[in-house]
Amino acid sequence: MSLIILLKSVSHPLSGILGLSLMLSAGMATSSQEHDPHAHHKHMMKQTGYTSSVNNYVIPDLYLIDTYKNKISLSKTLSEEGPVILNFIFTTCTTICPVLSATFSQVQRELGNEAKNVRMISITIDPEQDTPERLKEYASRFKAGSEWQFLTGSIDDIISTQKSFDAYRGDKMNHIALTFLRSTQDGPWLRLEGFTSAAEVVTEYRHLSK
Amino acid sequence: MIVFALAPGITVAETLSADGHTSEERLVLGERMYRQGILPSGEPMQAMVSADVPVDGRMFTCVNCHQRSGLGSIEGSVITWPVNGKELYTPRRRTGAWHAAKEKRGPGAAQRWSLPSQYQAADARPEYTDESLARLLREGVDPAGRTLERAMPRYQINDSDMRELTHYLKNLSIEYDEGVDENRIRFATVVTEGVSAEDRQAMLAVLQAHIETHNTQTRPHQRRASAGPFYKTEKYGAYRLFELEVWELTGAPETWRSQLDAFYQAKPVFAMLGGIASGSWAPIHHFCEDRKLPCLFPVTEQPVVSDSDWYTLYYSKGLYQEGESAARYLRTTLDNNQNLEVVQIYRNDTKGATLAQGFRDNLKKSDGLKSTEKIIHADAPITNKLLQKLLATQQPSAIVLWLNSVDMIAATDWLAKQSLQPGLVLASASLLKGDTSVIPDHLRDQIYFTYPRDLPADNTKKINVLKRWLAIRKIPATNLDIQSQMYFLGWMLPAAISHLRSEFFRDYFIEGFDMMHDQDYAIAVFPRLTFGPGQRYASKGCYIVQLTEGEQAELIKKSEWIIH
Repeated sequence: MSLIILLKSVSHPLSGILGLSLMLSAGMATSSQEHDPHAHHKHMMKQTGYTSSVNNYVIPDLYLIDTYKNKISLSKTLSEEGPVILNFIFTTCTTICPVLSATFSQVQRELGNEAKNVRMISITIDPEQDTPERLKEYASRFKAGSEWQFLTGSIDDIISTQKSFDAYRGDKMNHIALTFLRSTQDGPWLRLEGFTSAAEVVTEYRHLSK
Repeated sequence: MIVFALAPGITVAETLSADGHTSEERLVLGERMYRQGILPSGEPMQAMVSADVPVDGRMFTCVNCHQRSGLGSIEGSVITWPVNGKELYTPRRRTGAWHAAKEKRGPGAAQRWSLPSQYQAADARPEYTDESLARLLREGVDPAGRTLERAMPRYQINDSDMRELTHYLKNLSIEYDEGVDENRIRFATVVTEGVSAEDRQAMLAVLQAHIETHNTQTRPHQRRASAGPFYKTEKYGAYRLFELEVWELTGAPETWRSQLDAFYQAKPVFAMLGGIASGSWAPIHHFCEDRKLPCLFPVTEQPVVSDSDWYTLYYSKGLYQEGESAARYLRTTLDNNQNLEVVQIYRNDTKGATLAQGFRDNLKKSDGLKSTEKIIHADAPITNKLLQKLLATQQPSAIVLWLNSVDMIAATDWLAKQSLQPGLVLASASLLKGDTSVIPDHLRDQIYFTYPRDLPADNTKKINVLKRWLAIRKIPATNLDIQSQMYFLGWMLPAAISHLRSEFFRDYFIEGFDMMHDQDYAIAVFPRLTFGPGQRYASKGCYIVQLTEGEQAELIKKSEWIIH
């Protein structure tokens, strides 16, 4: 009943006038944004476009499905040798995913010859809509090369996967722009929050793999 | 010289463009840029996003974020502002709706009611001009001098193409759609000939009860909207009484279209709610598509299955989805072997053909399975001899029987006599209409069913809530499947209207549902409903079930909710 919840949130006092008015303008698919604990991050974002942090994530033991309908063990595929760049998207997404995917597409180009050594993984957060067939179509829209894999899965497995990266926000319409990088199979993950330029991703990647 | 007016109800005066396009032609060119990312030259639009990421218009374009209505969207923490002419060419002193009641008429009509300065949003800006809009689109700098977020692409558009896009935006969502006045929003629901009186009543009674509840204002919304602070204006300003017209269609489906047109012309409606038809929903679907009229959640097993149609939002793909799910199930369970053969047997009527189509379309995507089809004439009796003949040369690994309960008796009789049994038999629970007694006990571990609903054992609580709701309103629980569908619609409707604020545009109305969170609460018969821009079938999966033995057969899940 997100509609109802949202409408309740709208009737709160005038505490966060900005967040409140933004919600009114732009639709019902949001949670209350009245208090902004990320004011500092947003300040940072004005300068660089994103914030970064280093995290250790425990990858659950589960299977996802690639665009060829192969079952892919997530933990196994992520523990293969070599660097990985990962994000979460869905194909009918309005704002965030097309930009993230275009950025991946450009990162792929900027890496040039090196791209074949860097695995890129996009995992859908809307598995019911995003069948392997739809993901395949989406991949070609963004000119995905062979090292860029798109994964879907069961509803539960997709939620577990998001949770393991601290990327689950309850509903796909709440999701945020996140990019994850790892240089070695047992290294920590670099988490980039916000819209990165392609050059920024490549710089972070090079810095990481030094 | 372009002359345009901002107030609703005043149409755009327009001269021919330099290259001789009429206003209409220019709108088509502009729409193609906005919706498909294609320039008038036929080339994709080029842009730069996130500082250094080149974007080709075919990857995404204006509509992905700003939506068809142009009224924008919100996702996570990213806000996409409205870009319809009415908003762009008006100063933004705060976010939100045009306040109709406080709108200035006559000269200076573009001026809107504004908040005291302390309540004004930080994103305030002067109105756009053609020049400042072009600068925004090319450089990302707005008329207040602010640089927009990285997610807004910076477009490479030449002056002449810019004029087409600007022309389109100026005309986008400027006049409210029909069916709404100061006090009322008019809706229609369709009932066709051939629908039983009981089903008709099941659909209508729930819808009307919801509307009655809505119309009995428990709180004085209109007073709050006119006298409250702005957020109450926003929240309650859209409140109107709901009116529901019942459009009864008679005669052959080919004649429905002209009847629908006549109903609409006599009394235009803002949108269609629910509705129930005998046979395919297609004639009503196409009417809504042509009129750009939203139609929410009709009760039908035979919707139009399309990836691109926009205006009808269905609960599911109906029988087609069952066919699709059966194929998905077979693909994942039989896939490891090679050269397996599957036979579909169905009658040559619309239901059988729809199930078979869904199955066939999905199986096409598989390399391993080979499928053949045996089509039985709509009037031919099903006998052992007939089935023997149809399957004489085949030993299929699986048989799919898209048959109703009468035909199923004959088919199971034949099946029981076979010495070499197929590994698996699949059928549709929907076609049997719950009459599971036709499956003999000794075949129950062999015949599985597609079941596109939540299992009764899993949704007792939700069904009980629905039953209580019906009982309070003295509505007999005659068809809980239909009633639960209208129950959900009735819950969503007032919030979707409230979301419109005072922007009564049909595209924006549909977008309200597109942006909705996934639902599993007020819907009793589906496990969950999911939404998204352009997603038009909210329940996307199906179970495969088996029957227990005995008269009071229970359903046992043989699969998860199949989605791939």
